[in-house]
Amino acid sequence: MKDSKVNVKDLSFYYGTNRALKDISMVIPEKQVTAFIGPSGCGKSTFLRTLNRMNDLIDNTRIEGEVMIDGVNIYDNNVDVVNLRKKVGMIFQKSNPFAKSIYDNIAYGPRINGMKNNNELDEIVEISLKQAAIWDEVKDRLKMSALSLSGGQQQRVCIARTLAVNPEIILMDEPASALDPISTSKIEELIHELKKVYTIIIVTHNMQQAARTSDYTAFFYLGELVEMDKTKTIFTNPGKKQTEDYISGRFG
Amino acid sequence: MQTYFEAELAKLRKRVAKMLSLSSGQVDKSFQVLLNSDTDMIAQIKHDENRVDKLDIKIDKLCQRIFALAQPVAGDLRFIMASLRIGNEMERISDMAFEITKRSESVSQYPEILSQYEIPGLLDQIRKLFIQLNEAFSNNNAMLAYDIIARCKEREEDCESIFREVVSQMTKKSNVIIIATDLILIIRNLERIIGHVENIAESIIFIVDAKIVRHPKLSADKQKEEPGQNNGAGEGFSSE
Repeated sequence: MKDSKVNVKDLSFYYGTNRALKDISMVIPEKQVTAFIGPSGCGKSTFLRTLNRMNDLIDNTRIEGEVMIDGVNIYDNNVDVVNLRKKVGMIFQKSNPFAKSIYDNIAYGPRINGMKNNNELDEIVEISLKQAAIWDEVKDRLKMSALSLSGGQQQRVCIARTLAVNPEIILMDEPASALDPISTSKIEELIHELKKVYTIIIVTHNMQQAARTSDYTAFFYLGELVEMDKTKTIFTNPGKKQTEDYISGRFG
Repeated sequence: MQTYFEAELAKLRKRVAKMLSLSSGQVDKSFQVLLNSDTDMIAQIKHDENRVDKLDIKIDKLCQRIFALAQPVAGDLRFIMASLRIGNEMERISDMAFEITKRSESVSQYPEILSQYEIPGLLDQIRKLFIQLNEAFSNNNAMLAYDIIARCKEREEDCESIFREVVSQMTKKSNVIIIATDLILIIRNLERIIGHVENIAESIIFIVDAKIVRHPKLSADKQKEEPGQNNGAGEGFSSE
């Protein structure tokens, strides 16, 4: 296994009195793709959001345990949540570009972080769009509204927007579930390229997508981590019958 | 309620079991031709060969359909991959059974020669292998499959031993050359049948234990890194 990037210890999460995650411990390797799978309501998206404290925005929730990123517990009082979310970017199921130009979408993060130099911004926009494999499609219309793009293009612009603030970890919550097969394939190819530089964690309901894109797969059920292993092991010879039943479509 | 996918898998299992039963029956009939000059069996063997060939194609098509439409994984994937292999092995066994009958006419006239080389006993042992093979497949019994492989090795040694004795006789007595040649060809076909039985047993182990045992030296090294050794919480990934 490669070096660990995220180390979760005994993590439990509560919505009010409902314990949605139960004593999750997990090591997520650096510059690899880790997929979270499991039936709806199993806690995989909740767990994903604990990795950049997105759940802090939800009222009446509580967390126990530790999430260590590069050796720092992100739930320590002195952690700057804004900096954390720069380091741990997130892509959502539905692409959510701002109602701004493509350029301004990408430049948004660097600008609010104080960058004013137009040449530097131009460079970041170009690099980010290239990394997100959409530069060739939009380079001649950067001033057009991002909302005028197709769903697949919008999602890649959102990925470029995340990359523009130089994250180390990218969380993806069903990033291709609303896309057609061609756009899905582009996102999956992109994930494959991005893992050379970034640690990627993806929640997906698509078993084949988990199998195609990830190096490690974690199976969640009823708020518990049932099994995590190399993806090739999970999809050829999982250790737990529950995992096998789920991936072969026998429940969930 | 059985899903469409489960129904397809059940159909595949039924076809593979049917093919196993048919090819076992052909082998048994070819032994009757050899031991009892029961030539009526030859037509039945030929008839069954056609049925085996048809089943072989049906299994191929069914596996192709399941791969394309259901994207099987884990145990289901192994079962389908193994079914393709098993189908292929049985189709070869079916051919071998017919080959034996072609060489039986001269040999079966001399039961004392068959007895001299203890061939009836060998045939009984091979019949038992097929009974065990059917049982191992039907019950997903990997332990029995391992036992079959061990028995196959012993029977292969028996065949080799008989082969050497027959060749030795040929060098001493030129008048036995024709019948000895037929006997050698029969022994070689038996040896191949045993080899195919061994391959099927290996496929059963693959289905049940996810272990590739067909090239022991290679797989011993490979198993260290390949799937099959996990305990459900690999490399410290555990919620416990």
